[in-house]
Amino acid sequence: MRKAIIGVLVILLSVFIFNENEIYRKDIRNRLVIQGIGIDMNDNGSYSVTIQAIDTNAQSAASSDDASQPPLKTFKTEGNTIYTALKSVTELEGKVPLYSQNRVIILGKSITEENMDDVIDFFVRDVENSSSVCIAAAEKTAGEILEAKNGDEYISARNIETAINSNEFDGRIFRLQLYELINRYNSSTKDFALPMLSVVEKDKEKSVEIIGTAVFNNTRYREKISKGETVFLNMLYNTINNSALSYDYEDGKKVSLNIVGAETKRKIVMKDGMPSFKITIKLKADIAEITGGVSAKMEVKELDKINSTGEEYIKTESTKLINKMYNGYNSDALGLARLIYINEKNFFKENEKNLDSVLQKSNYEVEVNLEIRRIGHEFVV
Amino acid sequence: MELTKGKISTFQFFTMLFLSRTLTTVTYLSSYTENIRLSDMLIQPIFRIGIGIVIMLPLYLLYRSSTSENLLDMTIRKSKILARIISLVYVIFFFYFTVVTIARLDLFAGTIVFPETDMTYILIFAIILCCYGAFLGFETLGRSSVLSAVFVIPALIFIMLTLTKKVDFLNLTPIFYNGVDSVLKVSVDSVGQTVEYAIIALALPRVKGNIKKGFFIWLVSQTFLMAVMFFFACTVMGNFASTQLFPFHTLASLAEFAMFGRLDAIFTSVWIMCAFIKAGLLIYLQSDILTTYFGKLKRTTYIIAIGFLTIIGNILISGQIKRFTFVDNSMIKIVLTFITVVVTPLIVLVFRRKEKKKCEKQL
Repeated sequence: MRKAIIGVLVILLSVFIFNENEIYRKDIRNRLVIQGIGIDMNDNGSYSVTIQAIDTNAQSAASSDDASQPPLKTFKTEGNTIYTALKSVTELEGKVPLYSQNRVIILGKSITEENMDDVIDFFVRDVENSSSVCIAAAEKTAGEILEAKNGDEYISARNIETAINSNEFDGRIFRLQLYELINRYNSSTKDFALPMLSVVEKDKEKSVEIIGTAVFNNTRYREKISKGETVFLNMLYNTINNSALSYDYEDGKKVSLNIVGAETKRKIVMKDGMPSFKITIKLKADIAEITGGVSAKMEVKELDKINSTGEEYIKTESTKLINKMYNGYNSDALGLARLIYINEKNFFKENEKNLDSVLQKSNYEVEVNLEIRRIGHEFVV
Repeated sequence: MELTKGKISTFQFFTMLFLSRTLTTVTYLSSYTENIRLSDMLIQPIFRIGIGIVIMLPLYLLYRSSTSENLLDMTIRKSKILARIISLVYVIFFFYFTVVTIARLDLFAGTIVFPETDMTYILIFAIILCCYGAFLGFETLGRSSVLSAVFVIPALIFIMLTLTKKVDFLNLTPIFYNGVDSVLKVSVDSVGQTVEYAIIALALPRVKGNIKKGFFIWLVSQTFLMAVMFFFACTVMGNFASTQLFPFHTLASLAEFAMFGRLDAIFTSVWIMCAFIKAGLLIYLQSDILTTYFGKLKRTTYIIAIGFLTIIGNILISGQIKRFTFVDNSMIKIVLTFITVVVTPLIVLVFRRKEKKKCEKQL
């Protein structure tokens, strides 16, 4: 009996492995390994999809030195839906798209300003798409980002992804992965923020840069905030890990801090029937640089001053950003409506439809606790 | 006619049931919980424990005095026909769950692992493998369960630990936002997904050791696992979880450790191991009931027949999402669980009481 079962299993396994019509039907050689997808909308309402993919033909011919940076190719296709547009790349290349290696999805201005609802489903539904792929907004078109060349070489989607992922070390960059975007997308306010990309040309050399953060209200793009402001967005959102921060602490003296640890706690209490938010930002930082010459000693007083002015600076800038977000852009990219939902569910139920005005009228209090951990080589008295 | 051809320890038995229930947990389909908020899914396991204990009361009363024979053995003394009818109900129930278990594996593999592939070969291969497990017997399945648990439990803990950095408590939702009714409904659904209660009803005489202790440890541990998995699914993915067909697989795909990303490969192996144990055990129990209470053929013949029918059933469902949703129906499961775990033991219990009273009168 055992031998019979093992025999049947071996036969089945052989059929399974060697049946070319089945599992190996879509051999990797017949797949177009997509690295980046850019989506724009044409005037006639059809989608224009730009694909950056690995040029497998060129790669096999390339020398082994280039293995780390595979040769890339871009394609531009059109269709009534994202899927049909992507699928039509097969006609151009004779290969079937493989999305699992996709690094970044870039949404052009024509999409972020009006048509986000219609494009998002494909990336959630298609099983090959990774849930952790990075999403970014283009300042103009998504196509120009993926088609940008520095010399003869395309600026790779992999490099764009690396730049977005550098938010781990640089608080000036805000990152949102697909699963986080859908999470925010399905929330009550549908407000979120995305890193904004642009093609920058300097001395005839092109590069793709993150120029700030795109702020959304009810899935529509509202405004861009600068990279400097993004640091405070990350602080308020509790997504800052490591960043540089500089400010004036005395006349003509500027200090640069290296933030090495941060934790933001957000609390809500109801005051006079309206939400009141208390945001406490705790930061640990090292002094990286002080302008105004080198001194042998640093007075404790000076250290206290750096500390207190730093706390005040962060508090002021954070409060400014909160005002800008809620009163200027009408956007809850900071996700504070969620606090109302969790902690004050009855109030939330009553005001679910006018959350924007509730958030505008709410009270916000920011408290900053800055702890200087190290001062470098300098001596403290 | 007792099912006592070889006993396994309480530890082996409940480990086997733990893995079997783990499969149901990890293959959880978000479509079952359309009206329930995320945090309620964390509360649901607590309700589940309560319901689990209540529905097991008839079985507890039945086996309180003795676990030397199972409820079918008890019935056969009174009425052979009734015993056969009840045993047939169990066979149908176990067969149904075997088909559903493989169908879910098929849906997963066909949708996520090999979306372009015809699943027929994989299905046949998997079912033959499970039949082989059933052929090896109860003791072997018990031993394999302990070995598999050595991989499965650390693998799940590892995946969860790597996700701790992504936990965001803001993804939780207010408890009982839509009332208690929806939570209770999901808890009952969850109990209906637990074929293991019926396995306990039948296989208890094959277990040696402290059963009561084993049962409670099993009930609490699998509920705890469920709560932990829901906790991570809710806090890491938030609303995104409800957009995914298999949310726990998506959760594993988000796990990262050092330079290694997408730990869903580990998750898939957990899934396959648990499926082998579960389907193997169910096929074994069907063959054992048929051999013991219907007699005429060898156990191996029954295994082959069950395997063949399972292949036919799954081929009919494979690649047909409408048929899958029709078959993998929570109401069918709840009704069958109620019949096998509550009604049948109660009938046997009434017979036993009558028999006892008759004996007392005679004395």
